[in-house]
Amino acid sequence: MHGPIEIPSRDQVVARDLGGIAKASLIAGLVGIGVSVLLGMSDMTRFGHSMLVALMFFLSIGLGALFFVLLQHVTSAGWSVVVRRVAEMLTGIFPMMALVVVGLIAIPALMGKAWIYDWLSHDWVHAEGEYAGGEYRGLIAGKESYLNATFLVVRLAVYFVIFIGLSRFFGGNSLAQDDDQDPARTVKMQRRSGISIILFGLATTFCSFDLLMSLNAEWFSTMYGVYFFAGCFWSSLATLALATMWLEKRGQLKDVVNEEHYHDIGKLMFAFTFFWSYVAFSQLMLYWYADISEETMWFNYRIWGEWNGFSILLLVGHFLIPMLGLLSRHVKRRRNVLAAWCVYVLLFHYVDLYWNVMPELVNGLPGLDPAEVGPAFGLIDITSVLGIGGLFLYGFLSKLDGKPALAIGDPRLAESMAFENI
Amino acid sequence: MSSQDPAAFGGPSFGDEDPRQRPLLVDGEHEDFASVTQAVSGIPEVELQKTNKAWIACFMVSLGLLGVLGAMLAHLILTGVGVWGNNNPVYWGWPIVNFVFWVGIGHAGTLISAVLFLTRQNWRTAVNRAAEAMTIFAVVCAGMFPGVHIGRVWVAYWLFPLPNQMAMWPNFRSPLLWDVFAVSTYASVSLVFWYMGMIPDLATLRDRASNTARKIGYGIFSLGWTGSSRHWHRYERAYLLLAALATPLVLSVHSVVSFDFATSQVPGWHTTIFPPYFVAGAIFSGFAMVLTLMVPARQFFGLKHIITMKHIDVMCRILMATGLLVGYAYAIEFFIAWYGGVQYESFAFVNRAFGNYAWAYWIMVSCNVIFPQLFWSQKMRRNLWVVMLISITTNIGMWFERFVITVTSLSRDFLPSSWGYFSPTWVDMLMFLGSFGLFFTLFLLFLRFLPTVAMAEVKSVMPQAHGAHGNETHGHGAHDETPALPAGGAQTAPAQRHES
Amino acid sequence: MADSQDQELHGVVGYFTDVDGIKNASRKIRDAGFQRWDTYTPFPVHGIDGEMGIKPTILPWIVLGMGLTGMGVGLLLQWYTNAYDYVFEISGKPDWSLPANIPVAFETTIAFSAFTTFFGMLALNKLPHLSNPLHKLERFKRVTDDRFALCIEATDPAFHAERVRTLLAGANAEFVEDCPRDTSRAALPMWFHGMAALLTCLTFIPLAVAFKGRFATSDKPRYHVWPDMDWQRKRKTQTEWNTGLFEDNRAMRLPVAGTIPLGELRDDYEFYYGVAQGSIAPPPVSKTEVDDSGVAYQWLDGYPTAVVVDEALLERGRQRYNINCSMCHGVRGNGLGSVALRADKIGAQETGWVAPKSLLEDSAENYSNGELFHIASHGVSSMYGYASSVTTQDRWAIVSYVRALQATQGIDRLPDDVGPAQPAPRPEDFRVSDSSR
Repeated sequence: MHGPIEIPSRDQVVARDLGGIAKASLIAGLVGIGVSVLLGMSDMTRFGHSMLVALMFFLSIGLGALFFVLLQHVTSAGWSVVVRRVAEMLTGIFPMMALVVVGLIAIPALMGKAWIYDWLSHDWVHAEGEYAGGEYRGLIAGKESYLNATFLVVRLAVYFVIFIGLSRFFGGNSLAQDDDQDPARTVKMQRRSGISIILFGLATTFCSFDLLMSLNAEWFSTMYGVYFFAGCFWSSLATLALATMWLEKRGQLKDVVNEEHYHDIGKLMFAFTFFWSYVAFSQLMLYWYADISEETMWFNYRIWGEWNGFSILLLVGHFLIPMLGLLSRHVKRRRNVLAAWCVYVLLFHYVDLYWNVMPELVNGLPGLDPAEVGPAFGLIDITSVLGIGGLFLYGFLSKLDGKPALAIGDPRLAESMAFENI
Repeated sequence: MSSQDPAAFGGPSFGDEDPRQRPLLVDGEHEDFASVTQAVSGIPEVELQKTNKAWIACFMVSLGLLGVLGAMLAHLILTGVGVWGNNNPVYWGWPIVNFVFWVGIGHAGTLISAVLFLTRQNWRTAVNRAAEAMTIFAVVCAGMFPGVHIGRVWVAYWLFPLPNQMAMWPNFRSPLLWDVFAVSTYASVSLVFWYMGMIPDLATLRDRASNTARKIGYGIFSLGWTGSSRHWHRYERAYLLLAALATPLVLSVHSVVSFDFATSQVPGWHTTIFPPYFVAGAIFSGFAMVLTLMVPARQFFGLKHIITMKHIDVMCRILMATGLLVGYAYAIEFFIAWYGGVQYESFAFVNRAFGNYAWAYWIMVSCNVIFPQLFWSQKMRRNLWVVMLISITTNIGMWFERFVITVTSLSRDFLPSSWGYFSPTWVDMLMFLGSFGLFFTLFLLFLRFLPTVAMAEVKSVMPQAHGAHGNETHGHGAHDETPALPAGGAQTAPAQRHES
Repeated sequence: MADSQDQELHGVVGYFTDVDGIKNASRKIRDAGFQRWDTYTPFPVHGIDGEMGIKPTILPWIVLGMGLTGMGVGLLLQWYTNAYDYVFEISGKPDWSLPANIPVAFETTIAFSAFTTFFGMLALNKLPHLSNPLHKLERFKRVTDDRFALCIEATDPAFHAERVRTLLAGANAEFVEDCPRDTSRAALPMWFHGMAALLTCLTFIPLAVAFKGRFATSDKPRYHVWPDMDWQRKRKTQTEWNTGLFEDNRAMRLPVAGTIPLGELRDDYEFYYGVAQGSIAPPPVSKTEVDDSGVAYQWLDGYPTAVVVDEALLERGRQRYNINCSMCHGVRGNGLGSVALRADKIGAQETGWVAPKSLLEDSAENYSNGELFHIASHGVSSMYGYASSVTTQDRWAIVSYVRALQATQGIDRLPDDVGPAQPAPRPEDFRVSDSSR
C-alpha cells in the first residue's frame, strides 16, 4: 500500500492546446475523404465498401469506449476511474461518425444508390432476370419491409440518438462532477447505467445487422451482434491504452496512471481476444457443422477461394498471436510493449472488419464470384482510413480540449489511484 | 460500520450506495478473525445429537426423495427406457431437459469462484464455497441423466475412448462426445477447485477439533496445512491459475451443451447465438439456485453477518443482468428467425409462442425475463421473500426454457407427418423430483460437516487483513476515516474493503 | 540455553496478533540474515512475500507446459482414433475435422493444466505433510484462526536459540516459545505395511481378470445380464411356433390365396414382365427363353404401350442409369465403371470376379428390350436384380437410355458422317484413385 495519495489539482490534468492538432486532423480527414472520393469516382461500389470498413473501424472504437464507461458505472468499479475520462472523451466521436453515416449511407440510400447495400436496388431484390443471376431472391424479397431505405435511415437515426445521448449524459455528468464534486452524480450515473447498457446492447446489435450483416442480405447469424461487439470492445481497449499513454506522456495523467491500470486494461484485452475467438469459432463451427447452403455460403467464399489466405491471417493474427502475446503479465505491465500490442490489436481489428466487408464487394454482381476475386487492398483503403481517422481524431481531441483528462471530481478517484493488482 | 453519516456532508443520503465508501463485507461492530472462525466452524462442530431440527427435517425429506430416485433408477434399468415419455419424434424428453437444467445450475459456483475472483469481486468470498459445492452436486445430478439415457447403463464406459475388443472408437465429431469431455473435465476441475479452496479451512477445523474422529478426518484432508507464507504464495498463484483456467472452462461447458442442439439442422436449435446464450442462461439459473439455497441457510446457521443483505443485493442484480441477456437472446432469435426468411425457422419460433406448447413458452418468458425485472427496485432486492420467490420462479423458468427448446423443436420437425406431442410419464416426474433429493442430500451434508464459508478468504478481505499502513493502531478503528470530499488535496487511500 | 539443547529444538516460534506485527517481524528477521524460517498466517497476507523475500514460483511455467501437452494429447487422441485407427465417415465430415476437434482439445488442455496446477502446487509445497512438529504446539493451533506465527528453524546456520528468542520478543511478539523436535516414533506399525501390501495385491485382481478375458477364449456363452432383451417374447416370420393353434405351425399367417397388395396388380405383362401380352411371364431369376414346361416367352421387342419414349424418359433414364448402373457398366456403358476398374486393379479376376458386361457388345445389342428389362429387374450371372430399388417405369427408362448409349456409341453401327470410330477404351486409360471411398 502507498502512503497518502496526492490527488492532482485541476490545473495539472487539464488537456490544453489540443485545438491545433484537432484542426490538423480535421483537415487531414477532409483531404483523405476528398482523395478517396476522387479515387472512387470511377467505382462508387469500391469507394463505398472501403469507406464502410474505415467507418465501422472507428465507430466500433467509439462504441467500445461507450461500453467501457457504462460497464464501469454498472459495476460501481473503482480501479478504472483514472482512465474513464479518456474513454468518455473517446465517445465524443459519435457526432462526426453520424456525419459520415449521413453522407456515406443515409443520403445514397434515400437516393436509391445501391453502392454498398445491393438490397437498396429494387431491381436486384425482385429481378428474375440475369441481374439476379437468374434466381428469384426469395430470401431477400421477404425482408423488404425491414431492409428498405426509409426504415434504414430511421433506424440509423435512432441508433445515433442513443449513442450520442448516452455519451452526452455520462460524459456530461462526469465533467460536471469535476466542478461540483457531487457524489450524487455518481449514484445517478450508476442508476441509469443499467437501462443504458440495454439500449446500447440493442442499438449496437442492430447497427451491426444493418451496416455489416446486410451486406449479404441473404445471410444471417444470431451471433453477429455479439461478434461485432467483441471486436468493438477489444479495439477500444487498445485505443484507450494508447490514448492514456499519450496523455501520460504529455503530462496530464502523469503520476496518476500506473502500470496497475495498464495491467488491467491488458487483462481485459486478453480476455476479449479469447472472447472474440470463442464467438467467431462458435459462429463458424455451427454453420460448418450443419452445412446448410444459405448459411455456409458466407463462409464459403471467405474460406475456400481467393480469400483463403486472408482468413488464415485472421485466425492466426486475431487469435493465436495475441493470445500468446498478451498472456504474460510482464507484457501488460510495460508501457512500450503494451503500446506495441495495442497497435497490433487495432491493425487486426481492421483486418477483421475488412474480412467482413470486402468479400461482399462483388457478391451478387453479375458474373463475379467473391471466391474468385479475392482481396485487393489499395490506396483507396488507406485514404479512407486516413479520412475517417482524421474525423475521429478531431471528434476526440476537440471534445477533450481544455477539459481535465482525469475525472478529478469522482469520489472513487483515490481508490483508483491506490489500486493494486493481486 | 456506522461511523460515516453521508448526510453529514450536506448532500443527499445515499444509504449504502454512497460512492465515497465501500460497504464492509462482514457486518457488525466487533467482528474480527476469531468471530468469523467461530461463526463458520461452529456449524460442523455442533454435536450430532444437537443438530438443528430444521436441518434434520430437511435431510429426512431429501433422503426420502433420494430413495424415490433410487427406486426410479432401478425401475428404469430393469425395465428399459420405455418407461419414460420419450417417443418418436421427441426422442429427447425430460432426461435431457433435466441434464441441461442441472448442468446450468452447476455454472454459478465456478463463475463465482473464478470469474468474480478475476474481476476482484471480493463479496464472492462469503458465498463461493457453498456455490462451488452446489456446482459439484448439480453436476452429479446432471451427469446421471445422460448416463441413464443411453439405455444400457452397464456399457456406459463406451462413452470413453477405451481400447476394446470391437476395435472401435467413439465418434469425436459428435457434440455428444464433446459433452462427455466437457462435463467430466468440468466436474473434476470444479472438485479440485472446491477442495483446494477448502484445505486451509479444513486445517482450521482440524486445529479446533475436540474429538479423535474429527482430528483424523479433517487432519487427513487438510494435508498437514500449516498456513506457511511460502505455501500461501504458491497456493495463491495456483488459485489464480485455476481461476484463469476455470473461466474459459465455464464458458466452454455450457457452450458444448448448446452445441448438442445447435450443430443439428433442427429448426429452433440451429442458431449461432446458442453458445453465449446458454452460458448466460446457466449463470442465471445458477445464481437463482445460490439464492434459493443461501437465503435460508444464512438464516438457520447464523451467517447473516457474513452473507449480508449487500451480498444478496449484488446477486439479485447479477440475476437480473443475466436474465436480460437471456431475454436479449430470445429477442434476437425471434428477429433472425423472421429476418433469415427460412420458413422452417420462422415456423419453429411462431410455433413456440403460439403452438401447442405456448403455455410452456410463456411460463419461460415470464419467469426468466419479466419477473426478474422486479429487481430494478432496491426494495425488492432487500425483501427476502421476494428474493426467494423470484429465485424459485427463475429456476422454474429455466427448466421450462430447456423444455421449450428440446420438446417444441422435436415435436414439430420438418415433416408434418411425423409431428407428435410429448407427455411425461410418472417415472419422468418422480425421477426429476428424486434428483432434487440427491442434490439436497449432498448439499445438506455439506452444510452440516464442512466449512460452509471460505473463512480464510473472508478474513483476507476484512479491513484488519490489510494492516494499518505502518502506524501502530490496527483493527477496525483505523479504517473509519473514509476520505472526506475529494477536494483536490491529500487523501488517504481507503482500505480495499469491497472492490467491485 | 546451551547449544547442546538446540539439538532438541525444531525451532523457535513467535506469535503476533495482527498483520502489521507479522510484517514488521518478517522484515527484521529477513534483515537479520536468517534463511530457514517461515511465517504462518490464517490467510494469505498481502505483501508479505516481499517482506520475506519469497521468489515467484515457477508453477505457471509448469502449467503452461502441461497445458500445451494436454492440447497435443487431445488432438492426437482424436486424430488417432477417428482419422487413423478406426476411420469411418459420418455426417459428411472429413475424418480429420479440425473444427469438430477443437472442443475436446480445449477440454483436455484445461484438464491437464488444472490438475497440474493443483498437484503442482501440492508438490512444490511438499504436501501432504501430516507430521509437522509445529502441530504439536497447542498455541500454534490458533494460526488457522486469528494468530500470526513466525518460526525460525534450528537448522538455520545463524540459529542461536537465545538470540532468536530475544529477536522475536524485540519484534513485539505476543508470545515466544520453543518448538521441540518431534521425537515420536515415525515408523508405521508392521501390520500397516502388511495390510498395505495385501490391498495393493488385491487391486490387481480385477485388472488380471480383465487381462485374461481379453486374451483367453471360452466355449461358454456370454453372460446375459438382461435376458428379456436378448430373448424377446416375440415370433419372427418364417419360424416355427408349435402351439397347436395353427395347423401348419407357422409363426405368421400366409395371405389368402390370390391376394394382391394395393397397387401391385400386374396384369400389364408388357410393362411388368417385358413379354408380349398373352405370353406367359418368366420366373424372376430365369432368363432362358423357355420355362420349365417348355413354353417359350415372347420377349417384347419394342416398348410397352404404357411407356412413352420421349426426351423426358431418356433424361430420366440417363439419371437413373448413372445412379444405379454406371459404377459397374460405366457411364458410357462400356463396362468400365469404377467398380470394374477397381476390381481390375486389385486383380479380382483371379478370385472369381466376373467383370461387368460392356453394354456396347453385340450380344448386349442383340437382346430384345424385354430381355434387357428382365435383366435390369432380376439380374443375370453375378449381377443383382434392381426390381426392389428401381421402379418399373424407371427400369424402362434405363432400357431406353441403354439403347441410346448403344445407338450413339455402338462401334459397328456408327453412322458414317460422325467420323472415325474411337478406339475402345482400356482399363489402363483410367486413373483410379486409391481411395476406396
